[in-house]
Amino acid sequence: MNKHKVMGLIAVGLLATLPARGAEMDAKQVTIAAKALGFVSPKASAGAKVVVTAGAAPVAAVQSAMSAASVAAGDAGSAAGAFAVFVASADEAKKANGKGTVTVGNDVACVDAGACVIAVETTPKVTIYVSKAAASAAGVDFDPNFKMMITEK
Amino acid sequence: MKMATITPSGLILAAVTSMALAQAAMAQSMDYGSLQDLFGEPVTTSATGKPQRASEVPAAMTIVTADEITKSGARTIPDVLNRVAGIDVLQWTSSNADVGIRGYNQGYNPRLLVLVNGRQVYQDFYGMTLWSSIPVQLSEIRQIEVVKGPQSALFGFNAVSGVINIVTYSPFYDDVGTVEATLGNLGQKEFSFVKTLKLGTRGGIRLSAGGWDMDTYGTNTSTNWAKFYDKKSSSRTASLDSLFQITPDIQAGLETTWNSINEFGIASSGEYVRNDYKTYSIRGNLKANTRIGLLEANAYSNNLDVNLGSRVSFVNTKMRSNIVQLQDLVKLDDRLTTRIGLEFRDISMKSYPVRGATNGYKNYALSNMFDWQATTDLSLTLALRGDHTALYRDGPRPYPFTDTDYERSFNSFSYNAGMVWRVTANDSLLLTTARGISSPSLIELRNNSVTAPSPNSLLISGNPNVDPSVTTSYEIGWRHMIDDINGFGRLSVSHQKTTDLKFVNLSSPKLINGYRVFLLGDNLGSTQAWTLEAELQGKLDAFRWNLSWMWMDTEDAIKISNLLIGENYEKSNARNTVKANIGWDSGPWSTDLLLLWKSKTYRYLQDGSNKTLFEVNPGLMTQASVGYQVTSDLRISLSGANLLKDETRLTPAPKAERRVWATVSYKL
Repeated sequence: MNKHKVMGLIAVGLLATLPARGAEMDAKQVTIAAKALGFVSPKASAGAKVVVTAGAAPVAAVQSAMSAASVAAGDAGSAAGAFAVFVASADEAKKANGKGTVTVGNDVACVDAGACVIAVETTPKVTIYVSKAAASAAGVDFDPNFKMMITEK
Repeated sequence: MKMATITPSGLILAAVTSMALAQAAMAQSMDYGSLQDLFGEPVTTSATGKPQRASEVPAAMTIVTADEITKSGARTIPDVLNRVAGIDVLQWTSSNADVGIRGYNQGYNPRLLVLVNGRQVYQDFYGMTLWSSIPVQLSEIRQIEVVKGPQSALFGFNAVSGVINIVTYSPFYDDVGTVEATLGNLGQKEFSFVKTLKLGTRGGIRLSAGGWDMDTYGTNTSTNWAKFYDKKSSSRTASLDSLFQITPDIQAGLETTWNSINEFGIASSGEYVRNDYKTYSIRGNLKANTRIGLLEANAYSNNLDVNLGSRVSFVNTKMRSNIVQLQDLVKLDDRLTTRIGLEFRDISMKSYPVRGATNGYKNYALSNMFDWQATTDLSLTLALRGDHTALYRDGPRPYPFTDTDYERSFNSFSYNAGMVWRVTANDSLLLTTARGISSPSLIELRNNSVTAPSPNSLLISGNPNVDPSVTTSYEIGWRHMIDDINGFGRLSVSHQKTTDLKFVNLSSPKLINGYRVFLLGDNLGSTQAWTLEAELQGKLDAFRWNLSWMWMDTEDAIKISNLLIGENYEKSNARNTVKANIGWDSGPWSTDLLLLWKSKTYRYLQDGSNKTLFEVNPGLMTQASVGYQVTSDLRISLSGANLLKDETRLTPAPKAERRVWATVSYKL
């Protein structure tokens, strides 16, 4: 086995052990996610803390979509007391899960895993996914009419 | 150590303070605006009773938005609806109209359920809709939802050819205010006012009021009906709607409305009538988000004072519809939603011209809807409803009938079933079938006897033995999203058959208990029709457009001569209807043009002592509007109808004259 093949196998092995990370949310996804957060109960208060982890979403886009919130880049561990945390993986979501914190995944897989409370798709049309288990763990609920129009997992 | 003491006033203060500080609650009422903003398309509950996106409903449905209403320049709801594929508007006069879905339109059309925010605004009196009496200003309408085909299992009474639900801005979620004034030829003067007001963080009200005066069409002064024909028509309307967040999980609303109209129209018998109606209503509504679902209780009373004059009769009566509805909407699991509904109706009408008897019925209904998202691409809906109707009559013997005849009760059963299959990302297939019930109206049932008539008298009476008409329909529809035109194409084929058709039978008396009787409700046959609808809609740059064609083939099987009942659906259902709507928007300017063409039709008219079959062949009809947004709050527009000719025969009533009007609208 030559050196390149060995390096390649090591790289594949390392990748396989890393937690899955979705692509960073684009501005449209962020806008839809921010609007969906408007249906969370209890609602965010003015100046509510919102944390965006690396690779989850552009911080500026989140701030633009949630102008009344206090948005900052950070890691999932610093999300205590936050209204929402935009995360890039299920592992980050699990770290951020706390009372009243809504975890927003950049990939539906995070909701499938029961780690993120919410994730959105914007193509081919707007689709919103919510994990009932994660929402329950976070102590949040959604508008009952909204829940009739989304995919709960 | 000093202990705190709690006084009763302190408890109240604490409770009030805690309520004020509580976080905003979950919404039990649907926040149409926020949900539309989220999903990028209108949302509705009119297809199944469940909140849904317009693109996902298992029904042939069109939603007309507030923006489309504004740009159309239309000043009446029938004018707005006239643009929708499959809708037929009979514009009898400048203000009086009847609206039908997929044909079978007539004077006092009794086959349509019209709702304002879920409250029925059709009148159980004849089962007809007095469009001028609907207590809504155009500027307070968020959207008008049109559902085609029978919807009895989902919505109950009168939903035979379809449902039109007018959704207004919410007093709680929306912040709107508009004052409008319109001036036009034919003496048109119109004013309206709409304003929402927030009451702290937990409540809101919406006030609206408006009125118009207008000359009706025509200068015909035929002596047979001249005394019933007055060129002046008018309407005055006021309403107050409110919604309050009682607890985080409970909302309550109260609405009251009032209207007075005076206008010239055409009755179901094909006769000219002078309509003078007053309506008033009150409604209470309670919604609660509970462990067992979204519960809703709705109770309202619709009242109608009637002063109606025709060549042969004068009707002076009062009618009341008291309705209580309970429903529970539950998402049973991720894919299955159900709605269970109970409804009680007590509908009554005073005898006329002499008081002393009251006719009515009580109706008890149970319904259940299931909506199952079988797979990502396939959804199925099934709704079932059973009605038990018990007639009643208080007062002396109802000659020629007996009290026993008015102790009758009957059961009816309706269903709606639908399937939506998303064949590809851009294609969807819709299959529906339904059984709709047209229950007898009060006019068809009522008996006004308060004294014994002379033997061998010729009597006119409603009929306690008349049966509901039953409409069965099947539809297959295909919809294709077309990215190149930023729109869609739609094709549907449907078949409807109505049995036990009910008619006013003033021409062939029946012998009942020794009296010859003309019956106001008589089951006299059946009719069926095939309908093809094609529609293409797009938006390119500044242009938006919609093109539709409806073809209809009707076959009647009516037991007596069409002349005697005054209806001939084979001749009155237009074989072809083509509508083309194009608009152009640029900066502050908006323009809108509607072209409408219908095949030649024939319709009976009771003119004096003769009932004649009138040919109606209006040719190309138009509506147009040009609007200019002067500031963000101020808009002016110039609009018109029947523009191509000085006079156009739209119906057997006097010809429609060219109309032009200007509107100034200011946002408050």
